Amino acid sequence: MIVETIALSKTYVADKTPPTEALRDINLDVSEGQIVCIVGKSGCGKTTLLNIIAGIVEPTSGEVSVFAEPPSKAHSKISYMPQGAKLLPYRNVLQNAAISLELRNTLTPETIQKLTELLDFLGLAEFPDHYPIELSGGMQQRVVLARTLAVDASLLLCDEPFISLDFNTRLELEDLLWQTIKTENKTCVFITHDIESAVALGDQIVVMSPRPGSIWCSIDMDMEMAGTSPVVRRRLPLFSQYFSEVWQALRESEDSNDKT
Amino acid sequence: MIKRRINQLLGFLPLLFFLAVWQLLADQSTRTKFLFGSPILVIQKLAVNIANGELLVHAAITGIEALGGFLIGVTAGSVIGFSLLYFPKLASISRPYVLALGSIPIFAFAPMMIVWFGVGIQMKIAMATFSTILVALSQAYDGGKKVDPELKILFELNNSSNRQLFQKLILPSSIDWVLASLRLNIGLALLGAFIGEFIASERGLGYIMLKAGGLYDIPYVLAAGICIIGLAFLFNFFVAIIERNRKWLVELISVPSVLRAMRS
Repeated sequence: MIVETIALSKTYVADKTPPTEALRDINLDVSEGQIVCIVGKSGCGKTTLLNIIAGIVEPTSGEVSVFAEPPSKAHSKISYMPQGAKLLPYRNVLQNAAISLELRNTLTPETIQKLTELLDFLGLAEFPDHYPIELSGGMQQRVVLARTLAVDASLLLCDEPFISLDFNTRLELEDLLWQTIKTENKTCVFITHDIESAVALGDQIVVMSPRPGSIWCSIDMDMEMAGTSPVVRRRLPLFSQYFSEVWQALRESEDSNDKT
Repeated sequence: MIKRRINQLLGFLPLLFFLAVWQLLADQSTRTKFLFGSPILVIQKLAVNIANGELLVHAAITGIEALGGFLIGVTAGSVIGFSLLYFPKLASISRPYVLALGSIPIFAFAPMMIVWFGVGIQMKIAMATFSTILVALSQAYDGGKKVDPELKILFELNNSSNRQLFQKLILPSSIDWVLASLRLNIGLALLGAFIGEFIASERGLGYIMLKAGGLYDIPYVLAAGICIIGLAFLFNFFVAIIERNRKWLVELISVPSVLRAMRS
């Protein structure tokens, strides 16, 4: 198991406000090579869950392991793609994409060559000297994707990375991400509140109930769906069936939360 | 281009107007000329004392004192300010002390500085250092605190060392704060050196102004004042050069040479 959480809970405690229970009793297993999409309403604790898996946030109770280790010890095997295009404004495209390599002390002529090819693959070959301010939102997000994929990490943690992009760019980047994960046998936990993206990208979809976030249900994709890229998958007849299933599960989780 | 030139010339109009009114009023009587000097007298004093080298020597002394204090103060202040980022407890404990020290007028420290450093150049450099260090400290600390927390997380997830965090994130991200501290500290360094000279010295523009004031030589006092403005402009000129090359400087500090060499 690449990621395993057992009875994971998180409550945020602040001085002047009542405690906020963000997560309750999360049991999640992510196997090697899988893309697990976690969907749920805004504020249901998806990002908290991802941050706990990344080792940025400590759980209040429960256990979490990444590659059978505590997350903080597995950082070298994790690559994190945050919400929005967070780039260093004083570095150009190439330098931004290479920052993770530098920090991990793996910047060599070979990795630079690989990175250049990756930038080419992501359509950034003509802009290595451009600074973030000179790039569109979509191009900035491609740089973030290049930075995420540049390091040889087995686990990708993506926090709604394409949410602010136009539909075409999002499709394109989802496809690029999917291809890279599948060809390089990486594992990915992908957070989104967009059901369509989750159905198009995921091998497994985990539906979270509203706060306190808990796992409402988990839906495994059919082999045909799982083996197809996001753009092609959207054209399959099964796509709308899975979309409805996830939509229904989300509504049920919200209704059940309203009743309680 | 022509419009910009016209705008630049228009900028001088208030000064010319002020000088004309001043000259006009000064010419009304010998008493007003004695009390306020006049632009022509100030220019004459300036020209004569620059030609005989006196003002240049004293300006150079003040400049060296201010520059010494400026460099020591900005460097030490920035180093302490950035270091405090790594010790949040110490930072919160020291904050009221920094505020308290910052609220004491620099003039009040002069007698102690004389006791500690004598009346030589060291005392003036110490005064300039003390004038600048707290501003540099606050600017560096505040600049470092403003670093995007999500980028900090990115560094943390990549197992960055403290050195990498400082070199590749904190320093480049807060470069504008450090440059602003340079600008702010130019005037403060000159003020520190000037006060030091004013209190105990036989050299420097502060000494010249004190001596000329004692002799009721108002034009010479003002001529020395113009030299201080000149020094401030000179310092600002050098800071402007650093500001213009900020991008290059940041890249030199934070980007490995192999990536810098890859510019197309």
